[in-house]
Amino acid sequence: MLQLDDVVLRRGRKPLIGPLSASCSGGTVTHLRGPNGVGKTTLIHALVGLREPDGGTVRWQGEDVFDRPESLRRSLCFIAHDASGSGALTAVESLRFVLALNNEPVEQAADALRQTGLRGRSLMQPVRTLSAGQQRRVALARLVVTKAQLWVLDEPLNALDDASRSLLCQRFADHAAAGGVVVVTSHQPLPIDARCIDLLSA
Amino acid sequence: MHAASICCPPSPVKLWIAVWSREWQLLFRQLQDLLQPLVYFAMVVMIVPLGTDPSADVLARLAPAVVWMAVVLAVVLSLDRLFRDDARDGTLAVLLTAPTPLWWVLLAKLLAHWLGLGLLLTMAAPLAGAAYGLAAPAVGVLLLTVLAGSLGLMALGMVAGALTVGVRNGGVLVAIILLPLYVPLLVFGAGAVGAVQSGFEGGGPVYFVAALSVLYATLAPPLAAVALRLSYD
Repeated sequence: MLQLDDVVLRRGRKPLIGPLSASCSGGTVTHLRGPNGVGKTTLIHALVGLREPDGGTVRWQGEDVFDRPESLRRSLCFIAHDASGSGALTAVESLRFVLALNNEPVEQAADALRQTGLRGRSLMQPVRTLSAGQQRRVALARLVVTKAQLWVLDEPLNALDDASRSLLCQRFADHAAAGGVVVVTSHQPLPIDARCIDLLSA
Repeated sequence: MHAASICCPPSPVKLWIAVWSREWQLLFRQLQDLLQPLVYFAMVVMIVPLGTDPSADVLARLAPAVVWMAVVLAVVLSLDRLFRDDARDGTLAVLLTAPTPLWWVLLAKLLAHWLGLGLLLTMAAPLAGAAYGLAAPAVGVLLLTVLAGSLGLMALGMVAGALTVGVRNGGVLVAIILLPLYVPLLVFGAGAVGAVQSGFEGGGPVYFVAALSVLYATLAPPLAAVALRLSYD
């Protein structure tokens, strides 16, 4: 369970978010909503321990994600909003590296990319020559393979076409149904059962 | 159902292989990133004689300083490559949230970078030295100091690059941070060659450069790991 207690985030001196309390437990999809610039990405960074909250705590399975991140990192699949793949590498090479870092089965990389909708030549081209939507899929293909319990995804639906969007959302629902925790930010409504947390401009 | 999902980090050897194969792939796919510092090195070495009295004894006296300066500039120019693309394409976010010791990844990255550009500079430096009319023993010492020294230069550069990864156009900042830190390596690196030219034993300063480099390369990965976590956002 991911537990937020009175989390406060600031940008410089400007208050951005909070105090926000919420808990995301197994079996749920949590949808963080809010206008541009409200601090969704900043909050996501706080959730995955990349940024220390300016107040309050974020805990995963009872352990503070910033001070004791080990247990979080072992069960986390985080995909940043700008995640694509390494520009000069092919989609397969790029995904293989990400999987290897997380000790996930490297040999499934090509298969995962196919299931995410990349086919044929696009698997063997340098990532930077792919379209924005295809680059997104290179990053998102990790979701097919990962055994991580907690998925934290920043704007995963950006640049994707309608078919991949619904496929991806279905994947969120399946992961939640299997007991996983999904936290996503998105401007679009999710076509699945999700709990929404609205972030308002301070 | 998810009880088995608590995964363990990859073994250090597997991790090292993954980082190395990626670094080498990137290096050979992006040859311009490798050639640019080398071209820069060649330019500095070629331009200096045009701006001064190109007689043999003057050039031989200038050689250690010029070659070492060119090495420093080439290394500084290459530092951008260490984290720039990783930060842009989201690889850095993966590195920072993966269940792997970040310093180990950075050590692998540093040594791959050294074996790539460092070795090329080590081959280029004696050629430049010979072209400046250095005697054979001095050329040998130059080769050794550049081989050892380039590791230290890159190690310090890695920390500076990590500190400035969140800064737009961090290149200037990197240069300012590195300037004072590079002084000991530069003084002893070029000094070793100068000592041999003046008929002294060059071994002392060469060992000193090597020891400094090993020290920097040991300290740099953990420091850069802390710096990356601080400056990422």
